[in-house]
Amino acid sequence: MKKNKSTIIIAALSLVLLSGCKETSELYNAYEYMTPYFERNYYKNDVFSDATIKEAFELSSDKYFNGDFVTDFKVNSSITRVGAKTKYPEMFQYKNGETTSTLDGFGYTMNHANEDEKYIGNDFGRTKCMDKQDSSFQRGILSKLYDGQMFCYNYHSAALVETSASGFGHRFSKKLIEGEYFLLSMRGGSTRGEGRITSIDLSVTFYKETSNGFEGTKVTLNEVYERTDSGGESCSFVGFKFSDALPNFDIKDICGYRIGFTNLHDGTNNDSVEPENESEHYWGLLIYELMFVNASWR
Amino acid sequence: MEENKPAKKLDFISYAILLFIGLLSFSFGGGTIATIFASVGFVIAIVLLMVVGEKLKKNEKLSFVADSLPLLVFMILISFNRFWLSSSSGFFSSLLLFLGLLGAYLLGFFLRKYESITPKIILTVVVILSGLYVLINLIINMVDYGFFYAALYNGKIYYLDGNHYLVSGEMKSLIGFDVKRTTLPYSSTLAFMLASILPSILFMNFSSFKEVGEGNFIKRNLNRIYLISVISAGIIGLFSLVFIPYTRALILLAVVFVFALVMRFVPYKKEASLWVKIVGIAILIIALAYIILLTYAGVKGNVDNILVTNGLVSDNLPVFKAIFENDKGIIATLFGTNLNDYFDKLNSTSVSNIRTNSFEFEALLEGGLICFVALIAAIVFSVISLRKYLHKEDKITNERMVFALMILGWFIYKSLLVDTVPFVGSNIYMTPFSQDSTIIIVLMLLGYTHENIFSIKTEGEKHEEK
Repeated sequence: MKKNKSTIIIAALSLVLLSGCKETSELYNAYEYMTPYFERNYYKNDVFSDATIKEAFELSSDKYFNGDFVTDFKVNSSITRVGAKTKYPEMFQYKNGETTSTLDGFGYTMNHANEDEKYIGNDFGRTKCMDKQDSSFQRGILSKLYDGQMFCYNYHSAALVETSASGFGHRFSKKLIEGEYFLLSMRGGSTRGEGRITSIDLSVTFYKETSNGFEGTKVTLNEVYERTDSGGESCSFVGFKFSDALPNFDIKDICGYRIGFTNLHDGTNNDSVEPENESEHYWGLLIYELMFVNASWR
Repeated sequence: MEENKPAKKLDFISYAILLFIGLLSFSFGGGTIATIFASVGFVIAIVLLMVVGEKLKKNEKLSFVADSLPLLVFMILISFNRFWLSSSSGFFSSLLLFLGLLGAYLLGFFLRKYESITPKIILTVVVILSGLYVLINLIINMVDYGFFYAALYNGKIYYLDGNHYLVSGEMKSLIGFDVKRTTLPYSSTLAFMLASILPSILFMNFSSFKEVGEGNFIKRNLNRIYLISVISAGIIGLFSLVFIPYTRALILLAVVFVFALVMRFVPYKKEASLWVKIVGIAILIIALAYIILLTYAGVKGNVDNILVTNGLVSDNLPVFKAIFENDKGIIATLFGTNLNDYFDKLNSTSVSNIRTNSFEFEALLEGGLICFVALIAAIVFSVISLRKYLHKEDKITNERMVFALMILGWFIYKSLLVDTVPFVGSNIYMTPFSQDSTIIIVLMLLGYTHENIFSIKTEGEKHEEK
């Protein structure tokens, strides 16, 4: 009897000790996705590769914002895209009890992760980021997209996710209850090193869990403009308001997304947008931040 | 032998002392609470002085003060210095630190005269509560990281809140009432101290395992409880280091084990022989020469010599530059640099640029040259005193060896494995002299094991001799 009790205790303890390991569940080599070689840094992990697409929407430029940073993007003499601050200035408001202030700061960097008291309430990125909405977004390589750092600030590959045309998908550990806006801080990057303006058809697919797996609602933003190779701070805030762009889509229970793009227009350049397609030059979508603004999760 | 003297009945003061020692050993509070809690030791020491004061002869008190002068100077200068007084902590924090350090040392010294608490009881409380703390941390780390994670995942990174960190360089530790991610050096001190006492098995009298005392359960079985506690705590400490594995600490542990083997199997004389003294002086001279070399390398910079560029000492070179080549002159050199001046000198606001790995050089940085010299003198005096304590009887007992090994373990560890920016993802600067229960424990043990170095005789005693 005594021996059985000891065996049970030891077995239980072993089970506890071996069943955790949460800190080692997602590890990477030190320079993975941060090598000096552009074509080796594409992040292509897609957990929704087997999921089906239930419905698809295409958004014309009047349905989304596509700023030069936050302001309107004057692409050329005939094309101007509306920026986030023009289209949805209320997105930059912060309510703290009775007071409402405007979030004018965009200077948060990952080096200040323990200094929230300096940034919450005045920095847009850190105040509205998903890491601060729910602690589950703080874990994993894609926490780079949810930490509130909107630009490069010399952190280069450590601050962004480099995306190929086929893109990547991420499943959250929580489900969306409500949210107002979807936003990306993004720019183009290539191996050419020549500053220019490019355009893509950006696709964002939102997934919900069903009894058969996952079903996606694909949203394509046609002809999104971004600066390419123009410096790490030359990002475009791109996104939309759910109720304006997708009035018939119920965002409740969104549990993940996939980002990708098609139709890269880059002048006469014909760079590869997939690392498998060997080419002299490569182009990728560099995303610094992804937000479900004013969202709550469960 | 005092270890075998039957203890008097435990009274309220005894329980208060044991409670304090127990909570201290459990690293109660962590952070600022630890500093405040440590200063309570000063109050307990004063109370104990009132109880045992009359047992102390005048020459004992004078000898104790004389022997402790370097340590006292060190405590004053490490607490009240430009480095910390210029920071936001201020005078009150410095006062609490000083009272904590002094109180621990005095408490240990007076405790030796307090017959209600025997060495066995003290050590049993220390190792049980320390062992429990280390065991909790061990379980947390094995659950969250897995066995041998530092080896299995060497060089691998994980992401947290947008930042990436090396998984093999960290562990989790109960700090106060919270579990925090820290670097390996910071949170492994207590485990190292416990692992260090394992070789005391060589000095154990296992026949005492059967000895039964009188009184309640604990008193009847104190010998057994003590032996089982020491062995268990030592194993827990060792496992904590092995299951990471923390290779550097395990290498240093071998040094402690060698020391214990030498003490056990190499014949010795009670009084240090001439060759022992010569070797000791030679070691001091070599150490002094090495420090001069480090000073030269630190001030000159870019010295390509393995003696100064090796990983054991290279982190400390900026300290010499800050102390000996500063704009504030001789005052800063003697009494330590101003915190802000140091940052200016390095032309950086990053705290990580002043990561020394040695408590001796940390004392030089914070307290200046006089503080550093006082600390070195205190270390030398402690070695002499500890040797006398160990060899007081014909045979080294297990209890005396446990005291010595805990102190030696702490000293070796903190000489090479200090980390002053220990919290992962944070730039908070943590001096090894504050908010750390292990230095308080070691000072208490040093006070307890104190033996006179300078025998000061009163006029009455001199007259009697005549």
